[in-house]
Amino acid sequence: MTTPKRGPQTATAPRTAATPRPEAASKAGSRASFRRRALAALGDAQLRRAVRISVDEAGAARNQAVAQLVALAREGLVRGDFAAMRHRARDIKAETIGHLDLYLAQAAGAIRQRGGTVHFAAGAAEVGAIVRDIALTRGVTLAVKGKSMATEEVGLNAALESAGVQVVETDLGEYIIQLAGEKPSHIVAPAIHKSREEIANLLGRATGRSLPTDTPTLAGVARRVLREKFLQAGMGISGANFVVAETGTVCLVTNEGNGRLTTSAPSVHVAVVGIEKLVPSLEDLALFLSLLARSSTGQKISVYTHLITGPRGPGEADGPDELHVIFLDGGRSSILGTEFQDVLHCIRCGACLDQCPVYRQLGGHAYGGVYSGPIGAVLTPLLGGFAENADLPAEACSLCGACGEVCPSAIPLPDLILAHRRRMVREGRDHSGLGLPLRLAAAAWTRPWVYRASARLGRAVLRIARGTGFPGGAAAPATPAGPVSPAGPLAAWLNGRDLPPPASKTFHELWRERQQQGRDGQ
Amino acid sequence: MTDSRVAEADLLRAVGRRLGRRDDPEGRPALPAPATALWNPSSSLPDKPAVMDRETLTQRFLAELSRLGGHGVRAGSPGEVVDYVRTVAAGGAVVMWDDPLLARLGLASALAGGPAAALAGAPTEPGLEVTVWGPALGRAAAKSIAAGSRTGITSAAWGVAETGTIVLPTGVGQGRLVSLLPPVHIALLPEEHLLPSVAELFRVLAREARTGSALPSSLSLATGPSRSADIENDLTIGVHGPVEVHVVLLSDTVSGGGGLA
Repeated sequence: MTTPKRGPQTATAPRTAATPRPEAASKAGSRASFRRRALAALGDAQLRRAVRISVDEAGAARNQAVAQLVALAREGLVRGDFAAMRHRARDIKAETIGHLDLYLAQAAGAIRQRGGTVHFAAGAAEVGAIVRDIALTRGVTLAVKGKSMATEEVGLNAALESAGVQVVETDLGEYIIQLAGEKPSHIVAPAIHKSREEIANLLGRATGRSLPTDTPTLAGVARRVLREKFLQAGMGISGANFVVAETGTVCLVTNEGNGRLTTSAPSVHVAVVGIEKLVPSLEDLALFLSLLARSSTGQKISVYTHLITGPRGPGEADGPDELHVIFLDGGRSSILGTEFQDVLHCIRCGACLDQCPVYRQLGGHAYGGVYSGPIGAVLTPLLGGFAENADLPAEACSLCGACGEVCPSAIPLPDLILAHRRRMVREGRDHSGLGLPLRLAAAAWTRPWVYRASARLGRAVLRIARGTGFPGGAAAPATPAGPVSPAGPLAAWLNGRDLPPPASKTFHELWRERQQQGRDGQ
Repeated sequence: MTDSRVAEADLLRAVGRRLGRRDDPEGRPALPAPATALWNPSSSLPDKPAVMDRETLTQRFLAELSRLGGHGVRAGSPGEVVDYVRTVAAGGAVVMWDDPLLARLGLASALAGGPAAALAGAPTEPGLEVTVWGPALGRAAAKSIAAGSRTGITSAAWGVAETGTIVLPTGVGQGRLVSLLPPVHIALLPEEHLLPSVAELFRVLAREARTGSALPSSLSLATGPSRSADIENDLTIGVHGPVEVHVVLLSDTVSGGGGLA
């Protein structure tokens, strides 16, 4: 990725320097490209500061929580250390996804046996129609919603609102995003890009008051507003973190308690569940709960883990009269049986986002889809169309491999990103112009004498470049505003990088000297 | 409903085909019975059940709960339970579960200033407004009573020492909203129901689910007070759920236990 130049100019860099050349922007068709969105994000200092703080904290908390597994395993409290736990997690998911039709049938049977209603939806239109139908036949005008990536995928809020059903997001972060009319920028922390001043303004507008910016006041205001909605709503909509096939149990994990309220107060509960969310048994769920909390927020377990098995029982004075579980395909079945099948093992913990150097610089909106970070780079082209989204795996990744190391389901994310890139080249979608230079480099640098000659040449070029006004060179202006960018093919590469001074000696020279010294010393 | 059955059959067949399964002439694929023939769930848990003595369980549970901002106390006599609950619940309406443990302690009348209060030797002071949960309340009234109460009192089916978690089931007298809407939640947990780990909790739940006692319609694992970090990653307590969580650990003499299977 292009690391922005360090220095005081970063925060105030005018966007002119970052405006992409027209042909670069038009390559992805009419849709704004990743590059264009990334450049917009790079120019937003507030967003970048907020994202950086948030992912650094989450990443550190995750690392600590995962490290604790060693001691807990020694006490016999967990299955094993992180490596052992995620090995088992991968086995669980491979088992479930590898027999997904069987486990779906089992889950559907178990949910029905407990009095729930099961729906299967091929895509967004079907989910919208099913939920609209449930709402309208029961006279629902207000629905409360818990955080759900699946409903984001299908744009459920818009589908319901067009039918006259108001939908209120109840996760604090999602509520803030809804008030702002934006999309979540992180799977776990959807509003990390918002400052408290912005949040105070949004909540103030919603309540018609001017609000101070301290967290307790803002959270208190949201609590009061949303509490009323919970009590009035005729329908609660949730996703599911897991569904246990054996018992038909829908599992919701939250820290705020909005998941419990959404599914307890209204008389109808609708859960929209991606078909890959199944686990075979309660024991398997236990393992994933431990991994999910540690990987997403560094907690041992999230504050509320809610296990819903059917609608309320006879004589129970609260809880929903009806439970509807909608299993959403949404393009997932077309991933089965392909080299990308393992991406269906994702439990949406967000750990790969928190560890990704690209995400850390950009936040989630630059990815242009519901899913951001490494998982978005792999999943969005699969669910949202390869042609439109191939620039994500191509450009939003430095292949550092951090995502693959932290994934609690051991999804080989870097391999899957490479698989996307291979497909791009195969289908002739690679417009980077790197193909020929890389082939030439491979041909040349596998011959030692060519390698040595090019290293000497490279150092000479670097010395000259640093003495000129070339971007990144020592004589380049401190603020890269104005037309200093050369129109050459290297401009995009050099604009984002410091040109290091060439080492005074090459590795080969140093090596020869050491050998010499060794001989002299004997 | 025919439509939805068609969608179901289509989707399951599409999934099966992608997985290389040939179409079953019977139509729908069936899972070989028993389901676990395919899969050994116990391999997701530690090989051996964790064992922890009572004192370790208790201390660890209290330490974890307090680390999360929850309050935990041990009560050695019914009087201590009543005193603690009365202190915490003072100054607002109370809604509580109708369940055997709370009933045996006579908590409802003790708080309301009834005969049990005199039994427990409580000083005479104005009683609290106490509602005991039950089907007689009716759905709408139940909701508004829970919403209007300052304190919700429940028991807990289990506690987890590893995490400071309490496990709240649901039943006719055990409403979901009692532990959810009031800003203060007090849970009474017999010490003998403490389990070492989340893994052991699920070992128990899975065994119960397989041996006939079905899971309740709602089972909540609650670990400390409600929290959010959605405003600039700044931790705040009590966003939707309770702001204050109190767990009163009951010794065997109080819970009438000692014979837990």
